Amino acid sequence: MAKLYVDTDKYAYQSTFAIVEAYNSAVKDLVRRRFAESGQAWNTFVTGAAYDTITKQDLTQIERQLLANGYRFEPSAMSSAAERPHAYKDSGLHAEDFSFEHPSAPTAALDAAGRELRGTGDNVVTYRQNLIGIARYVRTSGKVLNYLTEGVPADTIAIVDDSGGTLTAPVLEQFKGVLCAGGTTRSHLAILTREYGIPCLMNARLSGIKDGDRLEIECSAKAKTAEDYQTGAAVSAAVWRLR
Amino acid sequence: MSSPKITYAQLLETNNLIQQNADEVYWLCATRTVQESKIFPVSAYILFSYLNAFYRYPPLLRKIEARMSAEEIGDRARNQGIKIVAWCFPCFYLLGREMLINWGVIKPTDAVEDVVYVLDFWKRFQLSWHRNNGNLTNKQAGHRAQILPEQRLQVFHADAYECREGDPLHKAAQGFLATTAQYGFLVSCESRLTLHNHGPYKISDTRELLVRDFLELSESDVPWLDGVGQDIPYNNLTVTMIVEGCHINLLDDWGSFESVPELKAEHMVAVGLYSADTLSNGHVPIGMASREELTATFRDLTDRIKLATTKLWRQMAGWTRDQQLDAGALTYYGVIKEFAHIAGVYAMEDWMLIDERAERFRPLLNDEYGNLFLGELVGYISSPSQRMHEYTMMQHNDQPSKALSYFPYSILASGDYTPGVGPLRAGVSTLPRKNDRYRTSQGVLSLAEYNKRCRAFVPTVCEDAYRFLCADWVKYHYDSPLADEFFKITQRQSRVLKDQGATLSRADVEALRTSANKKDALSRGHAMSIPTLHLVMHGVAIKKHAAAAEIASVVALPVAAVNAELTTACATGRVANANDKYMLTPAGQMILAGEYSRFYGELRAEETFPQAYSRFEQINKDLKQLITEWQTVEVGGARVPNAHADRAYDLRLIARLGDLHERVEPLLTQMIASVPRLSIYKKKLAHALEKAEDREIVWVSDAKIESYHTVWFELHEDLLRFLGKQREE
Repeated sequence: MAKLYVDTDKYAYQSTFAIVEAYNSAVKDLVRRRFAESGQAWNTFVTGAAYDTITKQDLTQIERQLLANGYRFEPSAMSSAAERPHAYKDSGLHAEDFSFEHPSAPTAALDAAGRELRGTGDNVVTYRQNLIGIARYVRTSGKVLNYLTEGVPADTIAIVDDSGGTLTAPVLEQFKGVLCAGGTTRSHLAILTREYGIPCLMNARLSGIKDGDRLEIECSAKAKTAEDYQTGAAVSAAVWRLR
Repeated sequence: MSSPKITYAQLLETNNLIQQNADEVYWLCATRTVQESKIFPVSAYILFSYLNAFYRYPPLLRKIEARMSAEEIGDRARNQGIKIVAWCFPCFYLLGREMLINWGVIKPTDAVEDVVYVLDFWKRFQLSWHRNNGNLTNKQAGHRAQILPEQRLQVFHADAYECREGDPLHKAAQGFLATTAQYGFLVSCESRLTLHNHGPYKISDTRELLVRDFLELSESDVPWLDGVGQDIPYNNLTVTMIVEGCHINLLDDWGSFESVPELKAEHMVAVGLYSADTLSNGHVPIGMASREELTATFRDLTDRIKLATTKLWRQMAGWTRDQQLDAGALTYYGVIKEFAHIAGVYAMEDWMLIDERAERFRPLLNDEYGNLFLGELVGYISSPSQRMHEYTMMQHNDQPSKALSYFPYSILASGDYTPGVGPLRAGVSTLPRKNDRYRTSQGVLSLAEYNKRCRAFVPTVCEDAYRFLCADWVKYHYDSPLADEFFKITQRQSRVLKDQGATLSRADVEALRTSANKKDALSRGHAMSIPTLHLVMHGVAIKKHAAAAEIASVVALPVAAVNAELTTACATGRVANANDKYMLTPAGQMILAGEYSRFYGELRAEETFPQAYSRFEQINKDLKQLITEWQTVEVGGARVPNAHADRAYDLRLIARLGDLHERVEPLLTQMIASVPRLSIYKKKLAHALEKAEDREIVWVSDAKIESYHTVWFELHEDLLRFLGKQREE
């Protein structure tokens, strides 16, 4: 079996993440085989036979093998799991009674003001007052399509997992507030809500919030800056459920 | 084994260019999380684009350069408002190389000549794009992007309309910015490649200009805007934003900025709108004829873009994952496709297809692998190819890694390397074929026509006569006819600066802008070549001991500008301030006296102006006689003060003053043609005469007001000073 240039490496061995290493290892195995089969010198093989003998079918076979081993991918785009449910884990996108349950979400019992702490997030812009509204998960294009046709219900605080803002693009302006489970205050969604003047917390860690709950968002808190991210400063804004 | 064509110096430089990008990979990616999106498999398509870039950039850049050099393309891009995201171009390509090295598909010694060439192209383009600041990247400039030349910035500065939070223009502009940013994210498949900023440029001590470009809005290269972008009349739009009380302290090579404090709507105090593309003569103003028109234009564009957003969203929501993957990968890979337009060699098959060699790897690109492999490559810097010996401390995080692999120098001795990936191969796409409609500043064109026109088009400022005129030339030749001609090209479509030429300072521009906004344009021309500080000191000299407002009125400058100069002049010992009245210090007097010959030397050498002046001197004698008769009357052979008891006597003299004024008027007109600021005297003299004729007799000679004599005296003083004459007593 032919040896690859990168098979000899004084400083590194394997990628950090298992799936990355699984694939990269399988591709290297494939290249070793095809190189050996070619019987050519590397410099001839690499821009010649390699183009035609390392094929899409070979790489499809690698994925098939990983799935056959029982692996299921973590989805991020809706289309991925929808088109290939057997290849992806269920992200609960269509579950009725969904709530984010982030392990690091801070929670506390009801305070004197009738507020129950249910999470935290990075405030995008400091506003004079906190925001009160109704929690509504917006996680699928079906939901957005529905809002497009019927209009967004009044006082909606949209809870989204998408830091890009594309999913909610056509209806974003109609939200009263946004809680986003990903991203930072420099993400696209943060930029957009800033331009529209909509209070927004990014990187929200939430627990136990269900569709229809009344929420108060501490958007009067300090906005989190790039410097805060770099220095790891603990700058956050609270999310309360109101009783 | 091929004989080495690459030199040691080339390899040293190439590795340096690799490293400059490598350091920035981590810095740029560390403050952003790996892209997550519900619609697009973003990380997966990013990796896909890297592979396509690796296989396709080298042959396509060579094709482009067969028609136009990288540095000339840089000139065009700089002047045409076309932005190629600096980091993306080399890093997409090099990260494709990094992926393939980690897969064992290539060695770090493969495609050496390709990489040397691509980075050299990048370097030459960047140096040309950054020509006005001498840097290679925004990073090298301390994360700043001062790209534009003075003449363009003056037009942006002069023509921007003032606005305040809550007013109709401000609201319309903010709505447009938000809507268009959102549309742009969608067009570029949830990335910010169609939106970028440059600047800041200094407008005043408290104001900065940020230039924001929105690209690819209408039907152009990407098939998903066919129909969707049909009603958007411009493919590119540039918003000039003047911000106050907010310092743009960082502008990175992604075209993103940071500011202190965080930029909010209230910081935007002036705004303008332009469009530019490969076929336009620089930035063309859009809806800029009046504030009302600009407000309406922003609103109209916002409505059109909102409709297009919804249409595009519905289209994209119906895409298969493969279509999403292709669209995103082509958007990223296409970050340099504008090069091909500029050179007039754009082909859909080059830029809107995935190379079959990249296509092979599509099955690997599921969401999870995409996120984690991309994460390792650009965030953790932990792929095996990126790890270095244990003594290494990477910039920013001290890890033993580097984001991008070098070339081993051993290839110079062994010659054991491969030159490149070879010619372009066939490509595929799951997206619909692009319609043959391309929105340009010269209308909607077929691609063949678009390419043909691009090949024929040379923007005026890129013509041989002007191409190498830069700020360092302007600095020493601003008073030449060529400099005037050069500036007038950019000023052609300016509302405020049309035909003003090369002599304006930033303060002049601000003054013109202020007066234009008051719809009371100051007539200035020759005086523009004179620094405001000189004019202010001259005004102080004429007024001797006066408040800022009086000084401003004699030299026809806004009080704010005069105040600003006076503050500087006081701080630097040229002017003294006593209870907010100003006088020249001894040094100030000498500085000023020495400067008249500098600024009025040509005028003194002319025939016409000195001739007009000598006729003025003649009339001056008559005026002195007249004023003496006004102030005194003859009583018994002695002259005694005129008590103004004889109404008929006074009226006769006022009538004579009117005659004298008619004699001096044509002279003034003649002198104003050379020194426009003198028009202020003409205006004031006419005003005083009018008052006197209305029987307000103090307006003839009262020294405490701007009477006819007071103004005349100041005019005479003014002329004497700059012509270098002495008063004849």
